[in-house]
Amino acid sequence: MAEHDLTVIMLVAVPVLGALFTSLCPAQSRRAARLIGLLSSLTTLGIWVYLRLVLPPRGLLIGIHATWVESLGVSCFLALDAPGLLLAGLVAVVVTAAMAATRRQDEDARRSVLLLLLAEGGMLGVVTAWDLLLFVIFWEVTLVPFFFLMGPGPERRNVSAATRLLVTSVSSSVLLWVGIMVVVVQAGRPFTFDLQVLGQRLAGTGLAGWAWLFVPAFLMRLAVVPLHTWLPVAVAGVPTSAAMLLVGAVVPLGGYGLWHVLHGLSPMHYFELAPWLTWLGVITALAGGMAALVQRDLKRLLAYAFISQSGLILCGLATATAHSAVWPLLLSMGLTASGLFLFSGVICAARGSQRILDMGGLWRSHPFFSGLAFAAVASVAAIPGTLGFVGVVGVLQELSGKVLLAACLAAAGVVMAGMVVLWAYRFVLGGSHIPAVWSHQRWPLRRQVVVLFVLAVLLLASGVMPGLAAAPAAVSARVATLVGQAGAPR
Amino acid sequence: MTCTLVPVFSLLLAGMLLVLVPGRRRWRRPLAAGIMVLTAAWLVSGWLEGTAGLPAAGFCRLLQLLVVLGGLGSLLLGEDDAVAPGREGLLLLAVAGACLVAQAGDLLSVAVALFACQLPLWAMAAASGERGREGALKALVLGMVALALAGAGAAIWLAKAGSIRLVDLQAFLQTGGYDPLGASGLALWLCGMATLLAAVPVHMWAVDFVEALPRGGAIFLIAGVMPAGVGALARVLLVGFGTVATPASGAPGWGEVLQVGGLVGLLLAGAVALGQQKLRRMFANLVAGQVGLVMVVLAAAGFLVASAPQLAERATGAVVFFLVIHVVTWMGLFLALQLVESGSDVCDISHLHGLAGQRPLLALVVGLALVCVAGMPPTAGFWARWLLLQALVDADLVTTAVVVALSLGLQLVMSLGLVTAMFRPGGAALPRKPATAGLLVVAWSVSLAMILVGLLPGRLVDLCLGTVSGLLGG
Repeated sequence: MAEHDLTVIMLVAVPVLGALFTSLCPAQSRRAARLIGLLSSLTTLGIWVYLRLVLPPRGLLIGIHATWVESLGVSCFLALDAPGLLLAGLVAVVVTAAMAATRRQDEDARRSVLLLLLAEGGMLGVVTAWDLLLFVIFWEVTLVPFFFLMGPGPERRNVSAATRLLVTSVSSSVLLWVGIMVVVVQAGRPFTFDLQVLGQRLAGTGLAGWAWLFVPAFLMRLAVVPLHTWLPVAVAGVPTSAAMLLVGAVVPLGGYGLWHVLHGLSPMHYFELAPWLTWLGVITALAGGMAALVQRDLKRLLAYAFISQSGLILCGLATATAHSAVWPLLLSMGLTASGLFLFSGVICAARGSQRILDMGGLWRSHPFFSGLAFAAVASVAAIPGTLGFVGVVGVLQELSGKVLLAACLAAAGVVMAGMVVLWAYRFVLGGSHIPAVWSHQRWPLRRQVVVLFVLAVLLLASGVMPGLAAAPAAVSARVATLVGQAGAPR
Repeated sequence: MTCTLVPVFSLLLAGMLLVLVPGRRRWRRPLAAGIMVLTAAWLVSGWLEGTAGLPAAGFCRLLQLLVVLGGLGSLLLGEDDAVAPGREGLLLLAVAGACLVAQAGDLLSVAVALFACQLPLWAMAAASGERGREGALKALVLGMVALALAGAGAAIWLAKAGSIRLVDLQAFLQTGGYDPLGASGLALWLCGMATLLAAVPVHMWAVDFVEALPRGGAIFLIAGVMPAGVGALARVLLVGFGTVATPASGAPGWGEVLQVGGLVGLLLAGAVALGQQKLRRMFANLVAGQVGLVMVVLAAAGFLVASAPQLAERATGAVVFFLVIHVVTWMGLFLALQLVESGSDVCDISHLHGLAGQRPLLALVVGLALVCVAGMPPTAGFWARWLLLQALVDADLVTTAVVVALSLGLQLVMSLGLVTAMFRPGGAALPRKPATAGLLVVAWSVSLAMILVGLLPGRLVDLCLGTVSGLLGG
């Protein structure tokens, strides 16, 4: 059952309009730019809450489904299903958090706000696009603001990290694009990019060899070993807001993209691919955990810990009958990463170093702020009562029903990563506080504390009430529908 | 018949007047621009009314319109070129020659017109200094060799078929007159054309030549001569020799040759362009790659002519659409050169550093053109590539289509590398050149066209497909 609701379009349009208004602000009016940014992201969050309440439990909420270029088979198809809605919520929360928590940039507040809003529009476009061409467009559009947030611009921050992200993303875009073209061609004339129609046409036939090219594209974005190398470099040298968005929203979107496109096109072949994805996930989980063990840089350590979680997410996505457990894990990763990169960004800026050995004594100087970060650390370590626990245990439980060895190895990797993060957290909090080595400016800002508090509450609340972070009925309905289509005689 | 040559003659006459009559540069440029605008208007009006007596009227007129627009763009973007006597006149002569290429209806006149339209460019290069003279000499020598090859090929066909007009050749080949001798004649003609069009591996002259030419001439070589030449090649091969792309007689056809040659050219030139530091050499190699891409699609169209003429026409329409976008995109790319080049300096990538800070809006146009040339959605370049790939798929060349699509990665990396360079720090010492009226006109027209066609390509696609309607009997 499909229902139409223009609110889905607004979900994408509001950040874009916000970006437009921000660009019209005079360069000097930083306060106005920040206000517009915050209002836009909060409005988007409000729209998401509304959609969360109205989405039909067993259907697709269509925003628009209109022909764009008839002769080329391209349509403008924006819609939300249950997993898409969850991811949209994650994007809205993470962007709002990044918008509210980043330090006031005196020189380029307008630019930062503009780029954050454009990134939000692009990511929400990825989540809502049900036309593959539109999907690729949003996928690429998302990259552009990140590139400017990270690299070039007035601050000349980290050009090499930005360039690495650019090259990685370009490679993934080309692979994605070629794969999609092959799929469209394989589905036959009249050509169409409509995911639903393609899924129906390909039901039972499967995908041609070249079509699988888009799998590495998604794996690259999900930072799966060996395509993960961009992530530690990127997050170690970028501003806090960009790091929050990269690991908190972009990486989970890679996982969502894999499921959304591949599963939508050919569920049966997706199931055949599952063992490979599972073992790749296991390798990633183990490698991420082991790499985290030897890191001395706080942000790189966190990056490897989240790579380990990406591996587990891949395992969860691969176990086709277990979708309900992987979505909380994706959400957990997004919220946790936002919180931890906010925390690490603040303390690294205050200390002027990212080395773990340079930290220490935060419990004495900033007990409340440090204490709030524990919710995120606990979620990474899958401690009961957090969202991370719900996701990790759920996925491992389902994985153990399929391949016990894989579940054990993946668990080892994730636990290792969690322990390393706990160790780093203990190191940062413990020891004596030496005021001279820390910044004399006021830190953390009040709104940074508020954001971390909200993120902690979300992680704990959804850990206690897992229903908040999952939509099992709708997901199961979609899986059942797609499997039914695949199995149905043509 | 005379009526159909009005654009050629008017441009020729005006060009000769501007070359021969001395006068101030102040009025020569507006005059040349005015003549080209009038010619474009005449072509549009004639196209809308339907020109009697001209075979494939829509196709020819569209190509001529592209040539004139290319000429206009090169005039506007070459505004601050080092002054060469009679440069505007030479440009008009080149435009006249390229218009003739688009209209030529037999084997020899196509090659001769393609050679002749480059003569004024050689003169332009020779007048621009020592390096220009060297490049012009190289291009002239290779051009003469190419013309000789094409002439020899045409002579063989004249001897075999009694005529080298395309319609006569078409009729002759339908009766089965294709044999190894004819194949060798066609091969000679193709070698000549490939050289004149700077297809890989005989493209090195063009790389040196583009580097040596004044900016206006370089733009016209890429955005005027190349579309006209490729259009003429398409018409000759598909109309005249369409039935022998894969001949049943066992003699070698031109389809496979073009397919393999084009694919190798696309990949090789793309890889070489990626390794270039000098902007002009990079651009020239990129164009050689694009010629290769079009050759692959022409081969696909050739495979379809006999079995599915409608699909062959669609493939030809895709080539026409690609050429339209090509002209627009290259105008945008040459904006970059216009902004950073000064005097006779050869610019490399580092000259682009800091451009985004100095000229954000113009850098945005250049960036858009770079993404467009790489064929990424939702730019106009994407639709052009998509249509070309569709044509390959129609001809069952799926693997070729995948390789072509993957080759976009090379161009994308190159394009994004240039975009990155524009945002890199540096360039503080770069003198900020004043934005001339011509530059602004080109910048806004190009960006508007790229955005409009990118968002709503349907009308232009239909228009381009319509120009080839009936060309191959589909």
